[in-house]
Amino acid sequence: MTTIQVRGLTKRFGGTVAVDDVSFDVPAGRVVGFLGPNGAGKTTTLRCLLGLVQPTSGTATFDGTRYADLPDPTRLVGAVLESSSFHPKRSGRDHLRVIAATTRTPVGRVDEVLELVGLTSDGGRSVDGYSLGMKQRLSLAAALLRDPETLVLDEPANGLDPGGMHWLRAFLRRHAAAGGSVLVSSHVLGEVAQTVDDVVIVGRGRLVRAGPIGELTGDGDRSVRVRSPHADRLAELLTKAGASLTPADGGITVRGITSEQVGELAAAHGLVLHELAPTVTSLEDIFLRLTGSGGGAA
Amino acid sequence: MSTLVRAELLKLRTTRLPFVFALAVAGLALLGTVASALTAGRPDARTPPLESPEGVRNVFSAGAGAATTWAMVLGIIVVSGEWRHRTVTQTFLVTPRRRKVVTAKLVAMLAVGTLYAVLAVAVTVVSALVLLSVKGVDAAVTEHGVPRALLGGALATVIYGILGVGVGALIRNQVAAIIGALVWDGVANTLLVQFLPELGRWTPTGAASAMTGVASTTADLLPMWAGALVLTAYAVVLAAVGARMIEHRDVT
Repeated sequence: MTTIQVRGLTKRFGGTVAVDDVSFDVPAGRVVGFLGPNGAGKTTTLRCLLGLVQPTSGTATFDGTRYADLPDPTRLVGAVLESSSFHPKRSGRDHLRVIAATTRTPVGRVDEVLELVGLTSDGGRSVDGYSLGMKQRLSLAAALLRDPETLVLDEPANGLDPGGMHWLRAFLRRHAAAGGSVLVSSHVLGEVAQTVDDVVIVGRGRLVRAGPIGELTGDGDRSVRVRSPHADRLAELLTKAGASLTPADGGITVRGITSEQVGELAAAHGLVLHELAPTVTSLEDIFLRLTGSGGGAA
Repeated sequence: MSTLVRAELLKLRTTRLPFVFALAVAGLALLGTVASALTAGRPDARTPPLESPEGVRNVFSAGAGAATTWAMVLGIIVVSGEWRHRTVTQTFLVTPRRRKVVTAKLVAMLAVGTLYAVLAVAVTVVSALVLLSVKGVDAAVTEHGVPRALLGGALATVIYGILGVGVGALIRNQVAAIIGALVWDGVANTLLVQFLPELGRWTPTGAASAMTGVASTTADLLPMWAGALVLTAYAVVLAAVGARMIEHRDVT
């Protein structure tokens, strides 16, 4: 079982720092979401990991071995990097046949993966007639050709329809359950939130956060929204109970106290409440705040 | 290694271009032979008469070298096409040792170049023999240095394919690489051979002409063996430098 290890990875293109001292792990049997807005350095990191881009400093390895030094890289690692890297006049099946020929994979396996991604009937057509989603499926078929235990997928959801998304999520879960590891990048947290065990978040080339996705919600801003005709009296009581208050359109946002406590306090003093709503900032909001994107996200 | 070469040949077989180029090679060999036979002995073209040994050899050598340009352009596309269609990502994922990929492409082009050379020579021999007999010139393929001209043209074709791989590795923009190579080979070098032969004989075009042995009255070309050596040197140096550049190039 393989662990992906990224250590102090830095890549400069001329004067631009694309990746700045990024470190994280992808343990076996886990699906790790690699998240960040476009231009955060996700693709460059993955390309360094796969030996396509030479890091300026730092390492990205599979159990300490660089991709280029793996004895049989495609057997161990399957990668989807971009959905447009096909010869337009070559058929989808021929694209896979070329990879099969290079890796001495039986041609029967080509038809198996075509079936797996649902391209059996389109395999004979040239790729320039494919939709974005079909190209994405073909990329995935290429990655799966040798049944690798580690998958590295760059924005695999791009262009997939809801059915394709659902299939991909189920596939990644099954893959991890069977002991494989997955590193999947996305610029939309919601796309992968239900699928990943851990998240690695980058923004402007730097690591922002890495850890289980469950811990991410712990960062959330827990508060209680209260609306009452006796707002002034209630505010006094809440402050005395140790809560902090901020007025928010027609009501107050209360922090440092649970909704149950607010309700009990109001009942004890005979105060009417029109609204009592515990709120947790959504994952997406946390993500936007952490990566500093999506201007003005609260 | 042979696995990689076979994969490169499969890449070529699964696109139309090599077959289109094969048609072009056959067409150009035929055209070159016909043109050479028709213009032979014309005083304004300063070409030797068809009945002379040089005239006979010219008819054969014109077609025999017709495939050089096509072999070179295909060689360029074999490498730069990977960048153009971004298939290079997949190629280097499957074979991260890039030098091996370039070597496989060189060997594959050696094979395709040989096929083009054989095709050009076959078309040339058949059409030249027909034309000569129509014109009433009694000639055989074994006389007047014709075998040497055919062999030289064939060899030049194969080496031009290698040269193309080198150019494609050096210049990753496909259009720039092809146009650059065509202008360099077809215009710049040809002019040098014509008007500055002491320099032109050392260009790839001059060296290739020396190999096919087209009897041109103005050009002072190298001996055939020297031409072959010079052309091979160009191909080897370009391919080596190109392979080195590709090894360190980021695939973004």
